[in-house]
Amino acid sequence: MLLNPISLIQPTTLEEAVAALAEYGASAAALAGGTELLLLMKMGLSDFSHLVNLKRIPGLGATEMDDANLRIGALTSHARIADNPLVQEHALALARLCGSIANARVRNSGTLGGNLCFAEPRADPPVLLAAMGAQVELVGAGSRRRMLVEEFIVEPLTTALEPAEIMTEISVPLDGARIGCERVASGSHSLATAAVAIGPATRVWVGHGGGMARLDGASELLANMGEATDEAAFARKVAEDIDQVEVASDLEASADYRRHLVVVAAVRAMRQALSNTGGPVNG
Amino acid sequence: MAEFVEITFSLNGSQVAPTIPAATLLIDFLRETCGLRGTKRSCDMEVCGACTVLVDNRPVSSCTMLAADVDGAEVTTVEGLARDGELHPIQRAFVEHDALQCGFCTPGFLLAAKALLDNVKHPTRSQIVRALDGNICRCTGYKKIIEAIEDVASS
Repeated sequence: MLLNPISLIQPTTLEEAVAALAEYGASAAALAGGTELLLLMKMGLSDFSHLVNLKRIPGLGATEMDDANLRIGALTSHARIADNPLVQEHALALARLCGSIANARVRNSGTLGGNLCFAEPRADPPVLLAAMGAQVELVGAGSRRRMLVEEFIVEPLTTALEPAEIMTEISVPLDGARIGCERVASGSHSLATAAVAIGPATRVWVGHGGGMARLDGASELLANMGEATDEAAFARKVAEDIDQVEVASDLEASADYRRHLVVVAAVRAMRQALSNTGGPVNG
Repeated sequence: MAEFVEITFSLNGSQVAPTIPAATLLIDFLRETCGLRGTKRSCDMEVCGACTVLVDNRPVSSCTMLAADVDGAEVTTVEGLARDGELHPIQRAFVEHDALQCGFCTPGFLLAAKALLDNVKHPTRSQIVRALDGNICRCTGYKKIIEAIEDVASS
């Protein structure tokens, strides 16, 4: 598969990049690692004639920490997040998850920002980041705004990113929450993923292959359980919650099987969060 | 704004500075423009690893990367492994251990192994398996590939 001819714009500042996206409108897309976008274009499923390369803009690929947050540049590759000592120390579940995405080549090229902006329904990072209460920063022409990842991902393949906006960073709150994240995988992609955060806010988020959902009942139950955790009760509540979510059947797995796997993943994620190991992120 | 881009990069140790259509994929630049056909197009969707090349010593899928994105980088293809007609130790180990049959996946495996061994001098078997886990072989069953790399890893 080949690409149709394109113009490649290579700005060296955010302002230039935003201006280029605004100028070319719907015919332009921002290019980070390209692992999803270029494949889409090769397959003829989208026909952008202009690509705005973000990789020459300094400052978008660094990971830093301040008092309240771990701040990951949107153009940081999954591989660099996985082997970053700061991430390993303060958000181990995220380091492990990023280290398990797809394969080593995709991890070297693909970026966390690109993953969030593409919003593939089977993508795992949004599930974990939502559970962690992470935020994203979005920069447009004269605008800079932040929002929770859970609000940023609107539905599969749709985000709150405005046409001439660029994601600059993902920030993970350092609020001492205990995190667990587990996925049940088929090959290199997930059939079901669960992320549990127990802390100032207790959240249970799951990915079911066709999208992601917060399990409110399970979140509340877990928050109220405290240390007296009843796995069976939690599992029942997860099953109840996921029953209310529209889950698709496809060639890989029926909706019933996916719902079952969501319960399996959620219980494992809960155990990890309680033991605070940051999880093996089973593949 | 360009439909053509000028890039400069190191290819198997030599500087090249072509002007190419912006839409050129790295795999096609290597195979068609440079005649370096060791890199193979197989799944064409970043899954199989047959198109693996090293960019700044990291494995990437050349089938789904713009050639423009290697501007300023060091690119290594399988053709860059042997020196002055001498096989690279990893290549020699693959031959000695019978680690290839049709050979189509081999360039990808060689480069994935090189990237591992350049980072980890004496990887464990588990580290080797993990490093190769994104490369698919339909012929060998992987055993001899792993043994070949273990051999190099232990020396």
